[in-house]
Amino acid sequence: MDQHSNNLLTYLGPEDPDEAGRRYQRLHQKLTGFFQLRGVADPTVAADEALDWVARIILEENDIPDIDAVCLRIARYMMMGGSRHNTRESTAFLEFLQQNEGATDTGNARFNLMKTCFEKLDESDRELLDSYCVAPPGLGRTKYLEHLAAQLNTSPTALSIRVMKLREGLDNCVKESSKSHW
Amino acid sequence: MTHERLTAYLLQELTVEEAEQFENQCFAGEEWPSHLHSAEQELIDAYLCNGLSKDQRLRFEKNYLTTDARKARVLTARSLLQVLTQAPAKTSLRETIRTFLERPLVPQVGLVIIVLAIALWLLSPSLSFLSQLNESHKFMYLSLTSWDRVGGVKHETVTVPLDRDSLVIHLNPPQRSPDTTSYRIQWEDANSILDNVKTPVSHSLNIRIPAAKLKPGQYVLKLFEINRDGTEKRVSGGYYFSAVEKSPTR
Repeated sequence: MDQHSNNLLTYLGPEDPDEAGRRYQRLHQKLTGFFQLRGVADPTVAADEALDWVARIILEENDIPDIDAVCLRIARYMMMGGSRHNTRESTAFLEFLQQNEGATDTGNARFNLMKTCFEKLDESDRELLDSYCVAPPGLGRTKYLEHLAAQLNTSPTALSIRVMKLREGLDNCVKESSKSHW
Repeated sequence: MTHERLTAYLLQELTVEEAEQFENQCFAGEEWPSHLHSAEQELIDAYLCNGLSKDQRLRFEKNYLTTDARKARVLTARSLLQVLTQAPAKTSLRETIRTFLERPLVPQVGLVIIVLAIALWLLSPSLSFLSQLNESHKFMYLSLTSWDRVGGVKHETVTVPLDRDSLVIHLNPPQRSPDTTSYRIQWEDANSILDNVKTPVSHSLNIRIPAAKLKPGQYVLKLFEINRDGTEKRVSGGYYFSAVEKSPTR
């Protein structure tokens, strides 16, 4: 860990390194969420960079009254100009996905990769995704998902988070599997 | 940070100040709200399933699909929906012919016959699926009702003619016996059987009724369990709904 990060951790918990670590993680998680909401290609890297900036500011200013507000201000500043949104990797992956939109000579590679990744899931997870993702939109969806959650002995919120994690896993699987194509 | 507010934020329906306020609220908590990412995914799914209004759809394409990550997310979501509805991979006619010509003649003839037969069997549902992807749907959600409650229970109603391409009815599944491998859904009115759909147990229970087939009347969807040994057993009760004619506007 570099000097800036050490300074930041010391600032976040001068007497308690564990508390400093927890506060650091919370800031990192919130920044990652912000960058993800803004559609940034690599929100975790952007969050690291934002906290680097904050660490440098602390070095210069010695004290920051509201560190959350500073983090958010820096994150917004990083988003100005739009250069953060895409990376070389994100552009290459998108090009691969778009090329396979109507691919015919090798079959639909995007579909096949997703199918392969999907089939690697446990049967219960496959069934869950099938039941969840074909739920109707609009008011009927809420009722349907409440019923599905009740069937699975869970809450609608916990259900949607579980499904989200499965889908993120599938997206990452497709991305990793597609790397030989781009 | 409701679902509606997030949708408005992502579609840029909020003013700059309102958007900033939304972000401030999200950042103000102990943690970033965990439901936002899944709510964003629901917006994507609504877009792919024609669940957005025309205005929202335009805003989605203009204001949301602005970064690589978001566009990629929509494309992979589309792939997942295709997998879930099991669309087979498309193969060009040129590729089929090329493969055919490279094979020896005798088994080749037999192979072509088998492939064509399978392709014909597979392609008919998939062709309707492909047209379904671009269709607009009205959705209905029904629960099983026992026959003796039919007269006393208010049923779901749909107005016809439909203002969408089809009605998709999702059925609340009954308790399933371990031997059941698939279901048959039989759509009936007072006089006859109108349609039959088979669906494996790993898929959600639903039936798609094209708008043109839906006339005013009382309908029931009967459910049959199909067991491993191929036998069928009717599930007691039915899924009842009505179609009523739209009142003429003055």
